[in-house]
Amino acid sequence: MNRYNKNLDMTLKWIEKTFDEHGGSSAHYSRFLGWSKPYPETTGYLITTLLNAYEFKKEVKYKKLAIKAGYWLLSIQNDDGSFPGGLYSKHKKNSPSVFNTGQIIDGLVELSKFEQNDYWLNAAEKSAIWLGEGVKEDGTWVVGNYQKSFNPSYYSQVAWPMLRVWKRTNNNLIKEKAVKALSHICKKTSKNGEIIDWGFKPNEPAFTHTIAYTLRGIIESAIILDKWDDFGFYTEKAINKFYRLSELKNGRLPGSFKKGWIGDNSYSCLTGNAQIAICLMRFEHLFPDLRLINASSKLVDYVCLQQRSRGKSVGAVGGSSPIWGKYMFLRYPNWAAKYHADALMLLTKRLEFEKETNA
Amino acid sequence: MHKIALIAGYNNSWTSLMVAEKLKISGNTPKIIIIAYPFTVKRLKTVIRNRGIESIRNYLFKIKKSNSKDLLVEQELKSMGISSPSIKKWAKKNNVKIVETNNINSNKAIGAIKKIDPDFTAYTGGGIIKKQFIDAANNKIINAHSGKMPEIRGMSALEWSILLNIPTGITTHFIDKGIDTGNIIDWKEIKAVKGDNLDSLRQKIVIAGCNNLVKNINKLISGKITLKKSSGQLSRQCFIVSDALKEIANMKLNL
Repeated sequence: MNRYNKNLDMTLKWIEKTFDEHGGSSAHYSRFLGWSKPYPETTGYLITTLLNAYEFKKEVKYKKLAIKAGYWLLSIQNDDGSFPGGLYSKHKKNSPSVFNTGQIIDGLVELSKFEQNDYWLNAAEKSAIWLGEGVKEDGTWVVGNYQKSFNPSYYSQVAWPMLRVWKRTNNNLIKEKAVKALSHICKKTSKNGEIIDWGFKPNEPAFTHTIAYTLRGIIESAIILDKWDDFGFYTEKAINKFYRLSELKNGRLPGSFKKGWIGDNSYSCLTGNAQIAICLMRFEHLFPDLRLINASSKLVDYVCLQQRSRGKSVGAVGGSSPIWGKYMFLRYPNWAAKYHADALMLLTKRLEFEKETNA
Repeated sequence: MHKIALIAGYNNSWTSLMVAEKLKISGNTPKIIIIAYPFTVKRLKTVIRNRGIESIRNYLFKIKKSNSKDLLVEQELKSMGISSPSIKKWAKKNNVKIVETNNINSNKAIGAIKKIDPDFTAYTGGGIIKKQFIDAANNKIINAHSGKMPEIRGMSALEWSILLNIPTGITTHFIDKGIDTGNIIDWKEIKAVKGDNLDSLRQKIVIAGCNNLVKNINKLISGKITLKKSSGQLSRQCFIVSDALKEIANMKLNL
């Protein structure tokens, strides 16, 4: 039995609880307001977590839930392939969202790996084509942004699922557009490793959540393209910065950063902590160094310590620690549980690998 | 007569005492011992702000767990007739000046070391030393680091040596403004033997560290040493090994 089993089980049980009878996962839980409406974006990438859990735990219920979530998502897909932004409502259809569509593609591609037909992949390709068609010559999107014309750098996490589709379909138009978007983002890397516009809004502190989105998107894209020097290279300074910070702060990263790496230590963004742990581990996969795993395990340990272990919400992970911190104030987002589960599975696999190679 | 200074991290340190006693036996009794205590209210506040209150609890828990780490040093000193680890008592008995401070880089500590103008300063704990203090000590502060430099820099050096498949042992080196980046004086490999665990190997390394620190100071005094410049690309700094990795280090050691 590995040291993270208990936390992983609690987290997966919580994730199961977030799903409604139709297959949508509630965005967040609050002790005062209860469950929110389902969130298509995070339901999309939760599919990936569920399918990983299915392989990891060998429990078919996770696969069934992932498929159910997939059918629900396709039931709300727009005819042009896009997905609506925001929380789902029967009565009001939100406008299409670039970012949300990207995250849903991630789940659909993952489903396509488990099913022997093209059902999921066709849907994912349709979405990726919509995304590709929206990319302008300079690598930005005009339609479907969360903040009018603002293209945040965490759109690298849109390029990545697009590239996942390209890898499985060989649709070069999708690849070309994803690379354009990615190049535009990488050009925004500062000398100190910060990537401009990696927060929700321009010129505002960025949560570690969106910083990690940005880094992960670039890292995964570089891996798929097999072009580390052209893309992944731009994350190296930030990765090393987070390595040191994770260690110096014993796994409790500041919740957000202002320009110049000025961290807000009054709270920690727990999903960001888990996401940064994943970034370090993915980087380490390319450049093996157990020191990076050490930092990852401290980040994960910190989230484990903050995870709810009693009461009705056992397994839930807060947006912030303390829970009244600036990120998702007093709420337990489903994506915090998602990234915690992802980090726990990845870390467990890495530690097991280390043990096996030395046995 | 050469002037030797010694820096300790706290009063009841068996390892600092062992270095002091061995320096005395070799005829180079320290002229001054600076005890730089690691805790101040300001520092505690910073730690709590940065790492949360639980980090203090964890630290105290770890100290409680690792109380046995100086056992071999304690036994050796007791066999030499020293039964109490108090540096202050030892200094009084041997007529050595004691300076106590909460910060090794304070004006008080810098003033004290400048006044002595030491030929060499033995470092046995007391926090990260900044340039101003290093300059005041004539750039001749010597440390025994429990890992192979430059490959292993920073904390939990023994665990990291095992985890990264680097020989275990002691590097004696000069302290500069970086973390374990100064010129190397000497490297001594200490191999684990069957039955060793992290604790037992660490104790052997601590003993070897004390002996090598004294031996190399004496060699430096007599000019019988060639310094090796720390060269090449710096390896990633090591930090305290996490519980998950410590488990693997223990497992590797027992294979």
